[in-house]
Amino acid sequence: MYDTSEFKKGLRVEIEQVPYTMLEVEFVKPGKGQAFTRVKLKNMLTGLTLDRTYKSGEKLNPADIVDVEMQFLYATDDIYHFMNNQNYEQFEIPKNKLDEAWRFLIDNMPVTITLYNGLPVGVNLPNFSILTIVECSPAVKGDTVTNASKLATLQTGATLQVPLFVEQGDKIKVDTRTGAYVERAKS
Amino acid sequence: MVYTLVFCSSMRERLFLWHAFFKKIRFFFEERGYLEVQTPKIVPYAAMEANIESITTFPMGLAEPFFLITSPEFAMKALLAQGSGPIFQITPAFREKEVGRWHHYEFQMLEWYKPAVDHHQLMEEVQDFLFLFLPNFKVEKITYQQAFRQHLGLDPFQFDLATWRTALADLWEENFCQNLLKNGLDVFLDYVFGFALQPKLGQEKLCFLSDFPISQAPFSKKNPDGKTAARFEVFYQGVELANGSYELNNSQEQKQRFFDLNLLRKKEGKKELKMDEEFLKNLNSLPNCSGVALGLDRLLALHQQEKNQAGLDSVLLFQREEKK
Repeated sequence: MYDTSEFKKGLRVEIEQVPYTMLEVEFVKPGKGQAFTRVKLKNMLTGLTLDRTYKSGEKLNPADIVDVEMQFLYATDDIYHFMNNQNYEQFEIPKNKLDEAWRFLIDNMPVTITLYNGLPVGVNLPNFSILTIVECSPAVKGDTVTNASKLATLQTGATLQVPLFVEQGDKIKVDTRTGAYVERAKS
Repeated sequence: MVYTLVFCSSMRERLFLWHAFFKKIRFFFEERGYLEVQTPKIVPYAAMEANIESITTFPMGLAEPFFLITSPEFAMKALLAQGSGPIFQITPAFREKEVGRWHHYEFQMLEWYKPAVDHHQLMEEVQDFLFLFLPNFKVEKITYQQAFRQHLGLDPFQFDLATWRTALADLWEENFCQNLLKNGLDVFLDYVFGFALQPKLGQEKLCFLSDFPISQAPFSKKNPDGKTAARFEVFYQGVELANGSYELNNSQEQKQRFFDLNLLRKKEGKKELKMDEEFLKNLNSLPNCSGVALGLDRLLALHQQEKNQAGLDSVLLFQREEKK
């Protein structure tokens, strides 16, 4: 159990069978008065936030949450296969549990997978991923400045807006946090 | 979890800042005829407070526990009872589990006592003192009751559930509030005070708030109205800077307050506290006097920077860091 005095940003707790992570923690105590701790909590399953206030000395259960370092191996249909770097065990996650992450996953990519009671609730990718364009309309020569863009299909099957000068077969750098094209990667 | 204390990056600058600060404080009291005193930091009784916990220590080995002071109040009152005259002290004070932007379990406290003045007269002196460090403020004096009325439209002496629930809709978590109310009004009032009222105090002017409910002023003389006591606090930009009293010097009444306080602690599931009989015995010799305790880290932080968002971290020399 975590006492209010242990509350801090990033602490993961379980309230009514839901895992939350603490986003903000504020200690409030009028001089001679009762102390309180107010926390902003993020539901780790839905991403929704809520505020809760606790009297000093109240306790919360830790959430059975672990971050596991893994490596992406391959995808078959809608099942994504990973390998646990610690024990080399394989681990499967269906595509619909990967949110946006599947769009940028490439073979051998190191990832952090968050497990709640043993089940995946989050996948954290490196900030950038280098991906090959497998399909897009031909490049427009000389157009390197305008904001015009076109749709390209990546090796993962995901589509992305890219600048007009980018060609099929090019490797591009994508920011996995925003999902945006960054630049052409040197191949 | 393991913590380590690390130098802050601007250590040198802060050393000089504190040095000049202490010097200015001592000059102020020197000029006004105060004696500087030092009293024990490790004492045999925990602080008699409903909501302040003392840190336990064992200076004599693992026999009876001793406690780090949460304020030098009892020892300074003992000196006053012996005829010391006006005294001040700069001391570290310690409070268990108080950690936050404006709280630290170890902090610097300035405490002073002046015989033959009531709390209103002492507030004048506190104002003179603060003017040295916060030169641009105007002053506002209101009572605890007025503050609730002005800022929240509520009367802390006329509680009714329906009105308060409506007025405090943003703050109202039904189960939580019901739970706070189960042992009387004070814990609930602290909640409302801390979250709804205090952030508004001292924003335009330096705010002197006085005449708290008796149950929240265990060391202050009762006011003639019978429901409030001569306790005041000072707020600047939502931060509590000082707490003072026209000091209770009736041993019998003090003992009764301690009983009430222990009763509340018991209901709240806190440990009951042993009374310092020596303190009670000497209290009848305490001259009429007023005293105040002021948080120096907070004052220095706000002196350094208006609307200080960093809190105590902006002045501490050593900072607590989690050790990997």
